[in-house]
Amino acid sequence: MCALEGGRLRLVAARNSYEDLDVAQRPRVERLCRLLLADPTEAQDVAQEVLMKLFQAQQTRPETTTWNRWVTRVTVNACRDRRRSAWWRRFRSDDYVLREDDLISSAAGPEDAAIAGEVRRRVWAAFRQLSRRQQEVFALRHVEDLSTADVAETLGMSEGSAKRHLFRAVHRLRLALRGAS
Amino acid sequence: MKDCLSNRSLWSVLEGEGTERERAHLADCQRCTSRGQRLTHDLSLLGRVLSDAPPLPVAVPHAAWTPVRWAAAAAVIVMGLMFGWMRGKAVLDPPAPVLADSMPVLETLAGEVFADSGFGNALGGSDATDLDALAVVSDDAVPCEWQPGGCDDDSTLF
Repeated sequence: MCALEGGRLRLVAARNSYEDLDVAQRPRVERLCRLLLADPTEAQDVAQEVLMKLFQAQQTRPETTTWNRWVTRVTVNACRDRRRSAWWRRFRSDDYVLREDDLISSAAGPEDAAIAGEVRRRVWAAFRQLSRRQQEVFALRHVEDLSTADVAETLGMSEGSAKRHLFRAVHRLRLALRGAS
Repeated sequence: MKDCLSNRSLWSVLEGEGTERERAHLADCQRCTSRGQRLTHDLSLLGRVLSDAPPLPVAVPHAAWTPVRWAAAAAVIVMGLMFGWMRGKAVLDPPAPVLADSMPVLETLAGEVFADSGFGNALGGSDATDLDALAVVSDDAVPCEWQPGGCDDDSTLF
């Protein structure tokens, strides 16, 4: 009886632990997945995988404190794997395009409303046209707010290489922002 | 004006890098300062746009491209199948050997081998398919060949 009660308590604790982790990490993981994967359904799948991995890792290595960096690295790798395995699905499926009425943010403030519409469409289209490396570097640097050194370490490249990719990405996205193709 | 920072240098300085001279120039040059502020604003704007929920992609079939894409794939598959079929056929159907009208080497060899055995006379004197003549000559050349004990062995007669 005691053993059964103990097991049930552990199960409840694990479920609560997972829910806490989900609440704390899911927005960030999903955002990164959505940036690195064009398909939102795939992004959600990968985010779920990452959260499960994080939960399992935390059960085995609870003493580790650098989970944010771990999560970033695992998410980037999971997105890379998904992109590699998705070539056939992409070939088979129809092309994805951005729909104009989806471009307005659901939480649009005054400034967000000002940048809605055409600018958002151009920026997202330009971001999707960046190389995989440029997307990853820009997302980690200017969306995840990592330092350039951390970006390089997370992506397994030299800092100089990360800066080159970042500068090219910034240049192309700024052109899109200004309306130049 | 011509000493103004390049886009790359300006970006490096704003990233917290760049030389002392570049940083000093940025502090002094009104034009570069303005450019730097614009770049900072753009980066902030880009970060906001991209950190917001991305627009939902909608599957829209491209009527012009989809058939072309599948036609190309079908053409490649057909070409592969034809290539495989042609290679398989070449292996299954080897070229038929060309039969020589006459084989002088074998004729010469046969003449030499059977010259002293009596077969030569039988072969030379009559039709090669004449088995009766061949049997008579064979009995003369190797008597009692089919009896294990030789001509004295009567056990195999009946």
